[in-house]
Amino acid sequence: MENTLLAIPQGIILGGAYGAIALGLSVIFGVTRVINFAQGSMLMASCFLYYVLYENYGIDPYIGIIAVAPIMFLFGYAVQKFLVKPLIIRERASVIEPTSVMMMTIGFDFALMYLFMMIFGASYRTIKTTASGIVVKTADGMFTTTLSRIIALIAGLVLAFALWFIFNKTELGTKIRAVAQNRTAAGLCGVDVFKSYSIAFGLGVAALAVSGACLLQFLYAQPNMGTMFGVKSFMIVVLGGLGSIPGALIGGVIFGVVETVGAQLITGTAATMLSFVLFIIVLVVKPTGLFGKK
Amino acid sequence: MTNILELRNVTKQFGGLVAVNDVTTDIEEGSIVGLIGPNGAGKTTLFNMIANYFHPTSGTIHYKGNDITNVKVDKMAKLGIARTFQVTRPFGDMSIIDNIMVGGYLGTNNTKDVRKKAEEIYEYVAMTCNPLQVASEVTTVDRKKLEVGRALATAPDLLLLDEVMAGCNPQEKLELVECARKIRESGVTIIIIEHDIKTIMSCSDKIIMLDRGSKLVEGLPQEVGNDPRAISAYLGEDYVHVEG
Amino acid sequence: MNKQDEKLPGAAPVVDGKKGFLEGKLFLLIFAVLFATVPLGMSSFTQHILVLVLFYAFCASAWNILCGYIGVLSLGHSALMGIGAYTTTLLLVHFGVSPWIGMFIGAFLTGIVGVLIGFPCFRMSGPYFTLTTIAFAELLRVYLENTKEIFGMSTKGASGITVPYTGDNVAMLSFLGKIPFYYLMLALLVIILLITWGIDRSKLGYYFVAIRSDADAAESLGIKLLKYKLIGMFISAFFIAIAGAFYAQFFRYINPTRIFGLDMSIRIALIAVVGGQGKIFGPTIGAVILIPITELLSLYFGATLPGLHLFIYGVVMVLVVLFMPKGINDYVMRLFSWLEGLLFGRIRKAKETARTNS
Repeated sequence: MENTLLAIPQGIILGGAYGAIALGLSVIFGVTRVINFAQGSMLMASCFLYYVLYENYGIDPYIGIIAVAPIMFLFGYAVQKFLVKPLIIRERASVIEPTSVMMMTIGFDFALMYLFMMIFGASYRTIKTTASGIVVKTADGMFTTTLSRIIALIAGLVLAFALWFIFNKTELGTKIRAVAQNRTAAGLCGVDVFKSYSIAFGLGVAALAVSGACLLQFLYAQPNMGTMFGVKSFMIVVLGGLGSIPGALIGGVIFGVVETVGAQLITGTAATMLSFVLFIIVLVVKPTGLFGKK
Repeated sequence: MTNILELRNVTKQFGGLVAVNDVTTDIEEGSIVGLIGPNGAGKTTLFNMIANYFHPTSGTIHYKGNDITNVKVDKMAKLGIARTFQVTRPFGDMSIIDNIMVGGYLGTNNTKDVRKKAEEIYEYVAMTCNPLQVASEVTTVDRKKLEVGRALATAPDLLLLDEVMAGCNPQEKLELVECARKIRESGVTIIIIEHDIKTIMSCSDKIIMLDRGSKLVEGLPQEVGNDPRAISAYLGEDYVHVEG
Repeated sequence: MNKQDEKLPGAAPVVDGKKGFLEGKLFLLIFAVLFATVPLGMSSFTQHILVLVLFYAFCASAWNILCGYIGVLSLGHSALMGIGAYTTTLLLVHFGVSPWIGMFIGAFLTGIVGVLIGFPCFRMSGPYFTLTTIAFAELLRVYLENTKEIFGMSTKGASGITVPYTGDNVAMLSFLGKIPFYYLMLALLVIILLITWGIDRSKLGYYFVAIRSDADAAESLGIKLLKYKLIGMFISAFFIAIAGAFYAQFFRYINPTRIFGLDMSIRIALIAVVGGQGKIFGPTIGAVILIPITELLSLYFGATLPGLHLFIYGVVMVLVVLFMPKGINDYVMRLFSWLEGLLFGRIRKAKETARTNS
């Protein structure tokens, strides 16, 4: 029983990291209605950027964010502008292939994943930073974790707040939300719809880059890592409600807790399966998720 | 004459908004009925309830004596009620003939018969485009005719035309009126939503006018045209002068 | 192929005259002969690739019946394939049931599973549908990777099942060489192409495409969306399960990761999309083009540049979706009709002048 109780904070911390990854997906979907299947690979790409910075220049990923997040923002911006936008325009003209954007991002995911496979090979790369070495304990020593994991949770909260602030308290954010609610009407009011899309896409990918910096501290970089995180973040985002910022975090925490507590009570496998079942039930009962609107 | 459709106290609320309020009316078999009213009067909402696209909050709709108030939308065609859409919705990557064939397959599997029937309907609604042309590429009036033709292919007894003449020039409107008359001759009852008062007055047997969700006037075109309530709500003073 | 290409007697000025048998079927005949003879005398490796071409053409065609025609994007077909493969193999290993029979038991079972999965999935649209299919596939994969036995039959979890070799035995669908597998797969491909052709020209195909184009309009014409989606799902699941049974017999080894994994689903979808969704020959064309390229790349660069072939998959996918929305099929068909005009144009013209003169 004590183990189970201890698993809850572990789950919350893990869930915060999950939620941070899911944020990017949620932001992109919320604005553009595009599910970015290349999400996992983009996370992987940013992890490798941090890895290269660390290995070659000794730059800690936390500091590397200053360089990598803007790079990934531009990357996301460009992907939207050159790959997604033409498809959205085409689909507006005819509703023949409503699946084409999804297909494109799947192809892009493959291309990116195996591009890194060719460059870095399939091996797992880990780094040893200061934060990952510091062990944090409660006074009675029952609960231990590392500083890097706690930072990941805090980063998730900060990221969520930052995104919420951008979308709700800035003029840019108001424009983007207008586009998200009604593309045509916002366009008529003089908002550059596709620029808003590109910025949302860029922000989503930049948010991924931030969570990548936190993950690399206690996980690894490997070309296939995106698949696992990709599938998970889809489930988290749908659970919390596609497009909802708090939904992504809370969905992440629910997942984290189900996984860690489930691993204590039942088996790890059963817990993973439970999370899939949970996901399917939520989809069937309330497809908009726990916090989704409309 | 018997009534093909009977609406009793039909009301539809969206949240706090009453889109259609307590509408009661009868549609006679074999007539053309025009549904008019200012924007936001609830015409399309009423229409969508008859087509069971969504269901009334209260009230009943009877079709040929049977309650169809809560029938599922995919059962409507089989019952004999077909509709067109305000914004045309052709099957974009199919040819004109194939579009009509989709309607024609209702209740049959025989592709040969269906194709023959579709060709007849293509002639019947007098489309000008090549029947093998892809539907997304044809002109507005042909799209409208295609909508009508596709609905006709399901062999309906009641045809609901939602602003079928919008966006057409006077010549094309005449063609469509001609087409509607021809369809009525074959025994099909038609309900049309239309903004062009002159056109709709000229071809309808009965006009129902909605205003702010309620039925304002109902009657023969001349009666409605001369009704002071209708004139002040929608038709305007000019209308009287035009009609003389 | 394209419905708009069909001739319609009487209704419109028909562009060209009635084609002769040879004219209309020439390319089919050429390909039939080509496919029937090509593996003979080839090395075992080439034969292996050829079998894979047919295998993926078959899988993508099965996917196409649901996803290409009805226009939903399933990324859970690997799970359906896996159910077929596991059913056949377990029946063979534990009860000695011939894979010929097991194949059909598996196919029916998978069809039913597909329909059951379809009920919740088809309530959702677009991305939600796709995500649910992924979730079902992942659920089954994780389950099988960690389960030692189902209904008392050992499945060995993630380490997978080796299919026992029963000698060169037609009755047990077990062959020494690749050639019998090649012809078996060819026959299966022909069958699924004929079925797709039949669907394409019948009520089912018309309804499928109508649902893909505009579900609301389709519903207003009396099409029961769920019913037809479930029919599509059953047919698609049935055939993808047969592919699974073939996979097990051909590779003689199955494991959950390889057969249930997301990669397999994506690969199948990719081949169909690149070739041309919702077209009879689209998936086959996709497989004929993609599989040899990627297999050869993985052979020659597998050690030096691991993942190159999959990288190519991704790039081709992006380019095709962006620049060839109808898939390569469209271009191939245009090429054929151009060639046909070149070959038969003169004969046709001569015939026509003769007709007008008489």
